Amino acid sequence: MRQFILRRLLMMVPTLLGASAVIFFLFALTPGDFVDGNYMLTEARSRELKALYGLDQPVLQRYLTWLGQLLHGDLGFSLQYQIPVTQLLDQYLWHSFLLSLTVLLLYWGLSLAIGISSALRPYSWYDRLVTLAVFAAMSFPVFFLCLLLIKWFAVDLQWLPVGGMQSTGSEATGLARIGEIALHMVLPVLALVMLQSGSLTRYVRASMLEALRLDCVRTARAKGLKERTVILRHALRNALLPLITLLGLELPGLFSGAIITEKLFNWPGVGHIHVDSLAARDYPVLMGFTLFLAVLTIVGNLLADILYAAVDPRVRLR
Amino acid sequence: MTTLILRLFGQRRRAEQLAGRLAHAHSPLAEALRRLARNRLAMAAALFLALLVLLCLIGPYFSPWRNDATDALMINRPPSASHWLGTDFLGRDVLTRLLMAGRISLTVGFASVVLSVAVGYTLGALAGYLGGVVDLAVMLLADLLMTLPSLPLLIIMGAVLSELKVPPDYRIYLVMVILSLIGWPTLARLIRGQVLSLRERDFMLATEVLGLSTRRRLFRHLLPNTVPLLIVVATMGVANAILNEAYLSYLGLGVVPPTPSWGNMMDTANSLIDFQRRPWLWMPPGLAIFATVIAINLLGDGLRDALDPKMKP
Repeated sequence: MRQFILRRLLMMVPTLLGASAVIFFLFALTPGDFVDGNYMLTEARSRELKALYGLDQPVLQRYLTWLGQLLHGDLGFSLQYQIPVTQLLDQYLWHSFLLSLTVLLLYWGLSLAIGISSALRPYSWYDRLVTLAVFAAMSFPVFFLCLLLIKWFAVDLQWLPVGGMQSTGSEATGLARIGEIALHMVLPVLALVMLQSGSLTRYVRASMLEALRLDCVRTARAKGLKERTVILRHALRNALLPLITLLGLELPGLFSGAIITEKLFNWPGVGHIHVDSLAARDYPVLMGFTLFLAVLTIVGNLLADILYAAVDPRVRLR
Repeated sequence: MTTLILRLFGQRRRAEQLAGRLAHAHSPLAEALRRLARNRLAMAAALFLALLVLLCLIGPYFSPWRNDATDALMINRPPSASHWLGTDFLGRDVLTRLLMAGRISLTVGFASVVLSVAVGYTLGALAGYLGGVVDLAVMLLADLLMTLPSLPLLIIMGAVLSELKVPPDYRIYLVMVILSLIGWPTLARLIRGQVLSLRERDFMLATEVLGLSTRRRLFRHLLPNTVPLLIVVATMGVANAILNEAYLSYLGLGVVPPTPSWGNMMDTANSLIDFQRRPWLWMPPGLAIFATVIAINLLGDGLRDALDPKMKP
């Protein structure tokens, strides 16, 4: 087991280097930068600023400098907000995390419940309805769903706030504040849960159907166990095995922030920052954040593999 | 199997006759099509898509309004008898524009998948068949592209296009390239896996024993067996590409006006008045995207069931 993890950790190094190179050169070779975007500057002043931010150096040199900073845990300095990128991310990351964690818990619960119950009655009316709903969820364009929700629940019915995290100028504290944030979270959470539960429900259903065909389930039935015990103790445990891998892959999603959803609901998270930084060409923020996500993806993959190897010894042998 | 034995004993003519008859009796493709025809949901989806394509192709010719004809006296009118889906801020007929946008969105979705299939299939099959350094290089590249978050990557590349000031007519081709750049790694991975597992199967051993040439083994025996997977993945890929194009265009980074696309038609929802008071401007394109994508997904699922019942996710 230790050798398995060690080998996978070593394999991370070239992938990380490659990812950092792709990310850096993508941004460095994009025409225009933060200084160019400001047409109010004089020639001399913009040259001065470029020298200050090191933008006048050759690209390779800049990459190596950036890489060196990364090794010290320094993601760079935001040009737009004039604070270190790590500090900026720290301010907004947790808003995204709050949203994503709520969504994750809700949609995993929902998908498991619906997926398992529809697998127990395959090809029934309920199952067909679920399948159709799953496809609808997989096919909805994010922004269209968000717009519809805003239109119906916030604008027409005025039940819920249109966007943001708290009401404008609100100075609520304590329990009132929590309630206010919860109210603002309802619509974005609803949109994300609806969209994400689609493919997971499908996966759970397929996995459960497969588990129900296993020999051990037939044996359990033949022993005369109660149907409840057969399903919960014997089939479900086997069905959950492959799902553990998926849980590991959720890691980057917890922090990445939903770009379009956050933009539409004006949620002050990293997804929102992401779009803003792009408009301002605040490349240090974009590079730092994209790399952060790439690292999380790689770590998530590793986590998934380790979790799977931990619960299924057959994987480790290879 | 019988054909193989007959061929071994040199009765080639007999073998070919038998093979021909067998193919006639249950050719896998005909079997699959029959299975697909029995799937009512998938057939309904296919019918819907065919109608949609037809409507987008010939619909605008029957419309009394031209796609880009503006009418200063008929601005922002709600749906009526003359303008079935109302008019936009330039007095253009929304329905006509919706059909024209359909042409663009469907073409972009389809063409970008053709591109990513061309790249992904070739690289995936090569990696799987050749192995070694080629395999390592292709998979490293694919893994790298899959590690990077796809929506941010799309947004950056869209921004580069805006920065380079590519003219709108030319831009849709580059959008196709961008979308296929995101799409090919998944395809290459799947095809590689399929080739790897097929290579170890008995029938491939048989072709080796028979001393067939590499070219024949590859093109007549190995690759045809990857086609079912390819069809299914490519179908689902079109749905994905249409969604991605819509996201990009909605953010103003994909297909840009005056070229209409379903995504950039929904851009009107960014203006508060249009969003609250004029739902006919943004709801139809949203529904069009939704209906198209769900139909493609249902068809893809039906194809998966029909082509290989074991190929469930």
